[in-house]
Amino acid sequence: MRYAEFSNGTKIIDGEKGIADLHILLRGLGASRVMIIGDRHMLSQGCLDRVKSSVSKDGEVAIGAVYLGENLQDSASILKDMYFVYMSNGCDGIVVCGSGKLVDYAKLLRLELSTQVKDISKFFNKSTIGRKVIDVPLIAIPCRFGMGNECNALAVFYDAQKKLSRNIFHELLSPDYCIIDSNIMLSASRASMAYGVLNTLGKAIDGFIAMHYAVVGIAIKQVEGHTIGKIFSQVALTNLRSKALDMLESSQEEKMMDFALESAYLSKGLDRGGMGMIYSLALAISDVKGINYLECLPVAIRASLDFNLRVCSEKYSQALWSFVGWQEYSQYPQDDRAKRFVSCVKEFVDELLAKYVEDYAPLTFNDDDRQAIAIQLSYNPHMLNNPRRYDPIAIKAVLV
Amino acid sequence: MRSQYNFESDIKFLTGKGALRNATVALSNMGARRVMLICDEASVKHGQLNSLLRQVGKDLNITCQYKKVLEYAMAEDCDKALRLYKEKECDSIIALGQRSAIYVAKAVKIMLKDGVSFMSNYLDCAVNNISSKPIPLTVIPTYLSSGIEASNIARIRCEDKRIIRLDTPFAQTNFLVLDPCLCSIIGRKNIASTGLNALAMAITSLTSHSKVDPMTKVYALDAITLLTDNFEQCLMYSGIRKYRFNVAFATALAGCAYWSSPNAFLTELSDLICDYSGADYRDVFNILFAKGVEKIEFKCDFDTYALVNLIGYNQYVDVQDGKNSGQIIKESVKNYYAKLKKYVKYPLKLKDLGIDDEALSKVYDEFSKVGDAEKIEYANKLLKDE
Repeated sequence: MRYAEFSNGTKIIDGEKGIADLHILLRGLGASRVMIIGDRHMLSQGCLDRVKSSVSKDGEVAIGAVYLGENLQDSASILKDMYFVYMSNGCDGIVVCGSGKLVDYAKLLRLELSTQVKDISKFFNKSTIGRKVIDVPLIAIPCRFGMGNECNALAVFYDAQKKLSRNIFHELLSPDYCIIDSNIMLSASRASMAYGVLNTLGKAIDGFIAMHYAVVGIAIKQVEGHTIGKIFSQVALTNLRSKALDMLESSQEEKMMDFALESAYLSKGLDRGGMGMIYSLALAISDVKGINYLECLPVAIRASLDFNLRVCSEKYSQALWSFVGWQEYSQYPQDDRAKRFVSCVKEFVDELLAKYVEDYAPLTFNDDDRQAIAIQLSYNPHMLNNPRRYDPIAIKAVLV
Repeated sequence: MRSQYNFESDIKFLTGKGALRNATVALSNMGARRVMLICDEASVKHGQLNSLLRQVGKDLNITCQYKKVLEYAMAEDCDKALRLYKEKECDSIIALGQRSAIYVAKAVKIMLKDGVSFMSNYLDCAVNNISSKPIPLTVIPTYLSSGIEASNIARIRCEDKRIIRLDTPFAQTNFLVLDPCLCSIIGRKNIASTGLNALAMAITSLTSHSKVDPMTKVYALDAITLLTDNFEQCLMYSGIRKYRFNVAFATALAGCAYWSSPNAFLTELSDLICDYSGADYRDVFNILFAKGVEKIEFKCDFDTYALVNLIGYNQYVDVQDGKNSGQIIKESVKNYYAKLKKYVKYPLKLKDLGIDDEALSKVYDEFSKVGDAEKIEYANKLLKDE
């Protein structure tokens, strides 16, 4: 009976009507002059033109500015830039068309504007409560599936001073609408789709084994209780292997949309709960090695599975049922099921990389890298969700 | 057809100890300054209204209360509540109680968003497509809920017994609050009705022929998990609040799942039988569902193999004996129902609810007028041996 909240306010719209009705959505949310955030890739694909023509369809909503994000590493300067463009053009709403960091920055811009707190570092501290002062409508149109940040209340801010990615969680970070458009999604490459699948898999595993903590008196204790996050993960894990391979093989629009929707709802449902060791480790590797977060996922998934196997054997065994199906599950003896789950996931990751990511180069770590990753990981609050306690020696040992 | 938009945030669940207090913060963030409370007489009688006011009275400005809702949601109640809302210049609504109070609150919200003053107007016209007027609606179901709290449906009865059924996003619940302090002690029969109803709704939505979104699957699965973990204990130890709360939570989730893609046939038939006989909707629905499972083979429109994978590790699902997935689901449901018989005697036939042949023949005649040939045949199968 412990207090719990779930399902954030983001509404997910799928199909073509989403972008076509963009002007209605913006008008209904109270926007009259919007800032469109995108990148050069979206511009060259013609997606931004579609968004622009839909926004200004009936003439009631004007386009205040179009911001093309580039060199997204320095979070502080990008946000400053966006803030300036937004204010100087008198905008009152945001439409972001893109993925990854671009969506995070649009969400952080919304947080800054809504709360009128210009210094985003104030949100690093959990005790800072930013109240909504003005309403800033935000609509996200992801261009890659499986990312999840288009419909959750979490954003990553790269702290250049400490060379560390910070997680910011705030209710105001969840967009009002997330439009999943098949034409935009289909423009993504096969490799990016495969990474999207890996991201969904990582989140589902993190959510499935997540532990929960609550403040009891003056201490933070692990609490038992019914959690809906596990069910979200269970739904996402069910037949994930066959669905993903089928979708990547056939490239059918319907299958891709089904998978994209499932992934989006998983992020919406899990919110903070779905971020665990895989997410934290991939982020830490990304910071240390200076490469894209998605490219770090295969290593993070393998290392996390090895790290947690000892303490998660029962949960991994349950996850095997969903992942491979009950018929295959019942063929294995009880004691082998957890190990089987780990090997099945690893095989699946290898298969995806071999088939669909042509230029994948396995990451190598030296001792300094391992040390730096272990330190970075200790800063990430989502490591708390992991069932096995933080153990730097063991973490370094699984990073091979 | 143009899509309907209400421009409000999606439903948010606040559950567990302190949910009522946290709801005040959430409502205040949504801009609620003058709140109208709509509740039914049963909630007043059972002290649930007082519990609510004790918890939120200080933090929330409840400017007016409409407490006269009876067993059925009447159009007159909706009109009066709407007038009161306007007189007191309210900006948000809280619904406390059972089905009828929630229907009235939803109807008031629809009328406000649509700019309509009388419920009876909807006898002749449909609800508009677009309204950007935000009216936060918080639903606080009492234990005897029927899962409609998260639905977009309002079913209102006119004085001449005509029914107005509205299904529109304007009726959307913004916060669903479930606090253990409102789970008062009730009889085992009521617990059985509520729990079985939740189970029926969850299974119906998972085996639905229409395409369901992942959220629906999650809610249905979560309801099944909560029920299989708590329902029997709740029947055995009905005094323990934890079990009652979990069954109520399961009902709310199952309702969420069911009403996002309701089985129109079962709902229509149950509603008709209730209208003619005055029987409890949940009992009627449970009986029709159980008969459906027994009599009608699971069609292969949905992937039963995937469904067994989805339900996963559950003590009631026995997969070891080489049956196919459809049989596994069917037998799991039957075994579970049989097991429950040990704890409580629940109605198995419509006649057990006091519904006589005359009422059933009227129902069948009425249903024949509106239903298509396949539905009529299905209804015939279900009602035949009654």
